[in-house]
Amino acid sequence: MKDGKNKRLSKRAKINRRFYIMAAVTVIYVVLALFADRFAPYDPVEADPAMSLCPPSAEHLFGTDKLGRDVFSRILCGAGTSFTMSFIMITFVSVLGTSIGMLCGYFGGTVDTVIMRFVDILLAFPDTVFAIAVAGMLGAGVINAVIALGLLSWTGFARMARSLTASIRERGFVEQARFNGASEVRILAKYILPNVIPQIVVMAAMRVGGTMLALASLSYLGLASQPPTPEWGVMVSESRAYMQTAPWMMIFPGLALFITVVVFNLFGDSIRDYLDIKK
Amino acid sequence: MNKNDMILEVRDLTKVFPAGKGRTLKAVDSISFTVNKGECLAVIGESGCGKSTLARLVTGVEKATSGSILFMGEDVANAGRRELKAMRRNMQMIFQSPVSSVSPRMTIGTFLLEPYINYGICCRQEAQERISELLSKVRLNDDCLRKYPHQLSGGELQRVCIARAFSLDPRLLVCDEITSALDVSVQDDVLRLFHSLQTGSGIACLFICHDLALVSSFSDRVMVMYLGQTVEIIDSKRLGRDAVHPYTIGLLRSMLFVSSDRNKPLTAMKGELQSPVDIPENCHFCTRCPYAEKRCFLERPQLREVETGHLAACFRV
Repeated sequence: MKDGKNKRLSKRAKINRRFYIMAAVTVIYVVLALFADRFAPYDPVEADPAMSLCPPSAEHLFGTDKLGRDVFSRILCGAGTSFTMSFIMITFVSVLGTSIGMLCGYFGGTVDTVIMRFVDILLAFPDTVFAIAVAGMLGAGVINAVIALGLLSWTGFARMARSLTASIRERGFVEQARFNGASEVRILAKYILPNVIPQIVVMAAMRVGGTMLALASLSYLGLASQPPTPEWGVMVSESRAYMQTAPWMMIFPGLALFITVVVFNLFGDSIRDYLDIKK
Repeated sequence: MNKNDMILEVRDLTKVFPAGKGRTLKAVDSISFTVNKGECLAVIGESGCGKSTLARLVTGVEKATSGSILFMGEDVANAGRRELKAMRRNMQMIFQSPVSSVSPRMTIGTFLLEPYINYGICCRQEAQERISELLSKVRLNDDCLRKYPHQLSGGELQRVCIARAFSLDPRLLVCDEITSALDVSVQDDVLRLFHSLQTGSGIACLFICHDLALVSSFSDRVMVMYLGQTVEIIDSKRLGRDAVHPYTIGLLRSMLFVSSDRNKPLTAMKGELQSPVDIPENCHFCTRCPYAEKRCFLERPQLREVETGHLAACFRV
């Protein structure tokens, strides 16, 4: 018996440790992204033609691009805007999507059917195509690209919240809540929401990385950030012509994107385990 | 019987579910009964006979197809959401599975506080005191208030649910197989605890169960159901001697007691249940009844008074 308990405790301890480590990594990442200009050794937009296309060295850790700008500084500074944008967008969209999804899942009926069919339609759009359409209507730019992505990504939260709510609604404790005299609003807020939130938080954490990747790909296509803004997608796009002669121009922004997605996915994963009270 | 003594009066209650392809399933088939003040009426029957549906109808969870349910003179069957909330102040239910009755993300303390807050009964501090008192009645200590449901055992959790049901001091408790999800070792314990609380408080009780032996020991009256119909209503004390319906007798014969005479054979009932889908208007027990005649397959016997307070639905009576 005692052995079993110890084993379980150590499992919990492991989960907690993993969560703290991942949270620390994410915090470091965010601090680096937000205060990049303090950490960056060079001005990310200042050109130095003399230093054009230098390979990585002690002076320029990740090398320089064709205008002699420091790639390392540009990568650091490029994280800030897209992280802030993605974070704000995901926060807004997850609250909105979850509310819509929970109301649909709980009350059902015609409104639910109409909204969910609408969601199906939105899901059928590839987000890049949708962003191109929005950019065509509103013009290219980071804000418009974020709006385009936001218009699509609330559907994921809505679907998730709806299906969770619809299944939780049938559980015994909701029926029990009615015998406790709880109103419908209270049932949603006190009984269903706490059981929905963990999954939503996990999804949101993972989506931040995904949204940054999507923003980068839109920038790559010239639909979001424009040169000379330091932005990863823009950098990858600029590096195309030099792929053979100066591969560092492409490798390092690509790596930065890769690490971003991995960090947020692992963070989301560790939140899931951390919030699972049964483990 | 004095009309004022009646807590619950159910008349001709019927619930029909659609069973697909235009067929219907009569889960509860014109059932009538009453529950008096402080009385414990046990409802017995095998699984699928409509006991749980009956509980859900009586508490307004499910809407009846026809018939009336009067709880303290108020109509449950046609009550709106607000009226139901007001009624549930006086009518509480204990569910079969304690594990699914408490939200996994709610501490026991919050769970027990809920009725006091939602019905605005008293301030938080007084509620806390009352909860402690209730917990000691169900032999739990205050430590469990900070715990989550998965940290308690099934028996402990069911005792929490029992405490919650008593917290509003209801007039009627509907118990839907409250021990069947528990380990056999704690069933008796929980049941005895419930019984002492129920008799001590004088709260009327509709006790749904599939175990005749378990229930006959502490209920006042027993109602035996078979495929949605009432077959017999009888005083628990007289059950062993005076039961007349072949189904009740069959149930009694198939019971095993520790004190049973080992020479007397236990007899299991023969035959299969009829399909409850599109069931004909006959005595539903006719397919298994050892005394079944032609008439039993064609006509439905009405519930008739055998003696005062003893009703049975059988042509042989």
